[in-house]
Amino acid sequence: MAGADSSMAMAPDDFVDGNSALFQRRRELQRQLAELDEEIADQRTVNRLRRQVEDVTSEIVQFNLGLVRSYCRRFTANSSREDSADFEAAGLLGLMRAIDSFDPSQGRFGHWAFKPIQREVLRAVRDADHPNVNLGDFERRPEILRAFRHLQGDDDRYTPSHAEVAAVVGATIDQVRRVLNPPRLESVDQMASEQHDATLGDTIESHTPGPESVVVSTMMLSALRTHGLAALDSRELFVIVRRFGLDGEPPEKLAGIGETLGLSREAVRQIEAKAVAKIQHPMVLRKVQRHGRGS
Amino acid sequence: MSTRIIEPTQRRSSSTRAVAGARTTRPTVPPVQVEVASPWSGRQAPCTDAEELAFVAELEVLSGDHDVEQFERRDVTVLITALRCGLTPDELLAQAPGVKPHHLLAAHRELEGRRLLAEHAWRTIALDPSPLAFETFAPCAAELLPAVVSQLVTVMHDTPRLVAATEDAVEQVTRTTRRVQMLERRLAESLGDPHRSREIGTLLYDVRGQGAWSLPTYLPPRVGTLVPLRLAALLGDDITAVRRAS
Repeated sequence: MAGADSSMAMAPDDFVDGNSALFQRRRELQRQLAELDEEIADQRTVNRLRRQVEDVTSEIVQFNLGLVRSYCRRFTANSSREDSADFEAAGLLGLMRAIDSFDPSQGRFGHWAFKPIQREVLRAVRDADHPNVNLGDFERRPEILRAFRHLQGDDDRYTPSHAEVAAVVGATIDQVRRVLNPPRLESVDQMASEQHDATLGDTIESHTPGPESVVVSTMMLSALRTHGLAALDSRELFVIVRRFGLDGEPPEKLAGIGETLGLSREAVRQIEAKAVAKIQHPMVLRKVQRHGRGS
Repeated sequence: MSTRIIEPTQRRSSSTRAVAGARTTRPTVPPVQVEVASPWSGRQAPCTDAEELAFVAELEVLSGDHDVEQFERRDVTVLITALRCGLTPDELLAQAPGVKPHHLLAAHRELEGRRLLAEHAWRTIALDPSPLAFETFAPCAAELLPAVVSQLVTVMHDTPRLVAATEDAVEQVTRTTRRVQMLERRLAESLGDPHRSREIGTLLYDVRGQGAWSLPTYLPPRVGTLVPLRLAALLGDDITAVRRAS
């Protein structure tokens, strides 16, 4: 097995040849595995081949660790993080993706792996330093910042408009705005006022129903059960109860209910529609409302 | 769904319909309460343990030579709701012709296996309330007795307190289970009286979780007594997910 930084230490041609040999072995093993009929083949043979594929994949990863590190250094030069372990882990993820998708007819593995590794490492950098910028914007960020500084020139007081920067970079105005004025991330525990008497979380409207709403909805539901469902025949009742899980068990899909009843999905849909129409009948609704109000 | 009200005023004469919109002076008749504990039409009182045994035996006959291995989640629902409603396999198949008896049997065997494992885990803790035994068997026992195990977790690192708390819990579980068994015996005795059996059935299982089978210290002795929460725990369902089937 090659050393951890073997790709950096060896000559470019050796690196290419090493990768080619490993990938050839991996392809050969995968071909053998694919040709095996799993139902007939000995399970031990299948397991052995799978283990061998994993071993070769692991060798390829080890062999290309240096490549990942060099790409990581390149993409994380401006990152505020000193510990590069997270970025290298992301780079390894990209490398694994590249190994799985590598097509030898498209050129060398080093070139092929560039994009997946870049994507994963940049995603990690963005998560660490700019979690409020989306990945597409983040990839264009350096370019947009360069254009902004270029337009600014020596005059620090001049602020180029978003449209100007967008025209220079060839991006949309919205994208330039998102990059130059990214939304700020606030914590809900942050103090909302200078008196430090309330947090930001206290000012956010709660969408959880209050006790009154819970009581009212419970009464309405009880009313629906007693009046609305009484209007249904046994099959309609079954469809409604199972569809909405009114018996406490998980709700089911139309197809599942259909299989239970020996009906098609469409037939169940029609039964459901008819049942819902019955429940929504003004007479039933009036009873439900009256019961729901507790009268 | 626990109650269904059938009003005597559902069928109206033409003269009554004519004045339906007008204010009526007819005194309000209190609605008749009819317990409905499942989506099936049936006696609406749960199976007793003897009936559940007979149910399974009949499923075995109906399954014939089929492989009794595969089942889906909806088979579990069909099985458990049928047991809660007191249906026989014949009544069930008449209402749901798409149901496969061997799937129901497979679901029953799987659930009974998991229930037995959890019950065994609890009995092991009861016999040997040491921190090691508790740590090993608590996750499995919690599938049937989540509240009890959760209380014991708070003292699991203090052996004397764990022993004392386990003894208490065992006593409570035994007492509750015995009380519920008494109710079940009454249910078996009252099967000839539909109204009484429905009443007792509601005391045992209530969809709102107010029945005896839902008591936190009740150790379910058979599949038919599993309530939705315990069933979900045994099957590993996500009980917090509130999703509507698409």
